[in-house]
Amino acid sequence: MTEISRRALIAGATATAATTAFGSMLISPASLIAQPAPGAAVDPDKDAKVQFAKLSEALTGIDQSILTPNVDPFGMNAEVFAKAKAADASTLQTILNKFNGTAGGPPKSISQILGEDTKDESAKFLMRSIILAWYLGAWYAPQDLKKNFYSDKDPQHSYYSTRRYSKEVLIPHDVISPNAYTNCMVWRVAQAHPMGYSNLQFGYWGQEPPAAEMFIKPLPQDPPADPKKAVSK
Amino acid sequence: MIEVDRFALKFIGALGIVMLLCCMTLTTGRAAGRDMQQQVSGKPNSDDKTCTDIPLKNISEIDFGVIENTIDNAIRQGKNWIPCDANQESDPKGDTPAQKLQRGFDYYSWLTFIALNSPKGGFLGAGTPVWETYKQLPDVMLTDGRAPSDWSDPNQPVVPGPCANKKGMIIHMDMEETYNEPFKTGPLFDQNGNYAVFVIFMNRQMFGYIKDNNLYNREGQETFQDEVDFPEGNIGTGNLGAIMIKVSWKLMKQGVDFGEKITPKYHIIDGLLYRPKQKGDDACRQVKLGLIGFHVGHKTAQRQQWIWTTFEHHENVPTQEDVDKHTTAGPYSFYDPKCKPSDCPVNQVPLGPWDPDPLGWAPFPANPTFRSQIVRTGPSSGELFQDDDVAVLNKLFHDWKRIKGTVWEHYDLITTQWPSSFPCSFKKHPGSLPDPTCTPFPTFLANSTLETFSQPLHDGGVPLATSSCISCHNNATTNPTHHDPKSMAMRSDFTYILEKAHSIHESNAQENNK
Repeated sequence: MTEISRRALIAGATATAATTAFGSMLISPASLIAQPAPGAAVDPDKDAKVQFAKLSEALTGIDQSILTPNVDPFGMNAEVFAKAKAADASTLQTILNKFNGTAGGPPKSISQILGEDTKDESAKFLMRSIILAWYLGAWYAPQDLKKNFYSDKDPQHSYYSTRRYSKEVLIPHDVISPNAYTNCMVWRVAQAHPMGYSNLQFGYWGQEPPAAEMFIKPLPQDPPADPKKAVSK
Repeated sequence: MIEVDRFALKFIGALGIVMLLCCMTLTTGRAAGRDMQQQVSGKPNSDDKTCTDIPLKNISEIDFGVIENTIDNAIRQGKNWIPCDANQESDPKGDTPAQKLQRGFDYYSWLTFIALNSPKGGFLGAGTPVWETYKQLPDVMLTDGRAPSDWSDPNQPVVPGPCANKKGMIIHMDMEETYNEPFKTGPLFDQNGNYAVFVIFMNRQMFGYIKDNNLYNREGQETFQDEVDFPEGNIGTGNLGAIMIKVSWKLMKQGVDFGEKITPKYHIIDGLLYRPKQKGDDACRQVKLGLIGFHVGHKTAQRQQWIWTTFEHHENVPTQEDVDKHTTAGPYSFYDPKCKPSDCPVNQVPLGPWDPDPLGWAPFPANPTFRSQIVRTGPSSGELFQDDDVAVLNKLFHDWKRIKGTVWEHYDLITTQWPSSFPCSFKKHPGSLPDPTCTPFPTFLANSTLETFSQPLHDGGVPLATSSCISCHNNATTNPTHHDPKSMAMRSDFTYILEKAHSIHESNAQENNK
């Protein structure tokens, strides 16, 4: 599933980028702190969000420490979780229970969960929405993904047809937030940056980008510094 | 954040050279009233190899007795007591990862503020703050591109002719950076109609790196082959590391801010407003300057993106929340509570010209052309951190017996910005990382006197446009000559200071055209 989704993602990213209004990129202070402070109301979804981060790692192939860093000014995990919960809370809970083994049985893999999916494939398309949200910073409703999913019976409306960029075939979606757009994973996977926003330093365009793995895996810890060598010049 | 607008560089450089070479007589030596001290090399000396770590249990249990003893011991031993790096709470109480870490940085910021504003070998108020003895930017990036003089303690500034035999810190009003804010966003005028003025300093380690590597002129930057990598502070080795400081000053009014029977609220110094286009005494007017803003950038081993501290005088501006709730408690230097919004729209700049000479500005004008009406618009610390940690920390330090009752109790830490992702922030040469900024936290930070017109809004900001120390300085580069067509600017390790370098040949060309 991940393979198919990733392939589709590149095309989807292009479409998303093309249709994204690149206007205000306000970063809300509400997202500056991902975790509640003492005295604040207890987040009823606190545990579910932790489980969701683990699930997201499995779905995206990107290390959890990248998706949910210790200090998380952007809080994308919470944003994607909120979208998924709003779309289909029941299915999301089922997926989380199975994946984390919190429903009595042992933890299950993504493929096992897909194998146990309901007839309407609600888990499959919700997980696909989650993958797209992480990669593109945009929310594609599961029902829209399903409607546009490849079908031999209706090749004209196949997402994979040559008409996939036409108005009637383009899958509707909303950019989740300016933060989600600039911090979504497609830029990392492509070793690139969104239009109009880059943290890369001067001259980067004339150099090889950092290795792809550096974008999606935690940076290696350095060996302890030799104090004698650490003395500055 | 510390230095101004990189895009202004070429214009300022060209204009500055013409103006300075045509209109000013440079005399190197000492300003009157300063004692010549022993000259030392630009390289770090033993002072830079000692720093004083004052661990933090947690901010609820700061032991000022321990702080006092540690500082007093350091002073007795002649040791530097500026922190070499930020520490974290050893016994943090619950809270979020961001909040716990932020507390350590804010504690570091207060210790740094106190140490830098204390004299060498003494505590606050006992003499000239140590940072005032550092090198000013114009004393390093000389307009003729020649090598700056060696480090001396205190600094021996390049004294323009009109300022010879006068006492005070030279304020180069001929440099746009002195009165215009970053990215040419505009000047700031106080309620007396005077400019707020800005000055940049660097410590010995930063200066030493620039001098030893010939980065003080554009030719030297062209031949420099390495990646710019300033010395880093390191608690383990006791190395202080590179520190740069940008301050903002307000002109003090006699009878109001200082004088007989007046208890000063500001740290006040003698200043010399150098304006080479003016004649007579106006070419170097002696004034009293009060400290209103204080930025520190400090490179450390664990924060290769530098740690960014910002303080302000308590009476600079109200917050937007104060204004909305009608709880302003002036007087303010840059806000008039009595002026209606329709008459005094907030956070606006005047129409040009902004330069003091064409504007015809003189200190304390009888009929000011403009008074800034400024409010702090960003989220308060209470909104960022639910316990309002910064306000708590400010009160703790204000109430400390060594600060209570001094001018320093009127200075507030706004907060500290630091790279929050690690091991990312430990990595040397951040330019090779996917995100060289290593996720600055808080995302935005502005001083209302130094980034007045690029403050975050209450509900956020615009990346790369709203003030963020690390994100902005991540774009800083060198400014080499291009004798070799392949030479190009390089990243400059989070400082715009290197962009201010001049060329020897530009200077020679000016001489030949005379």
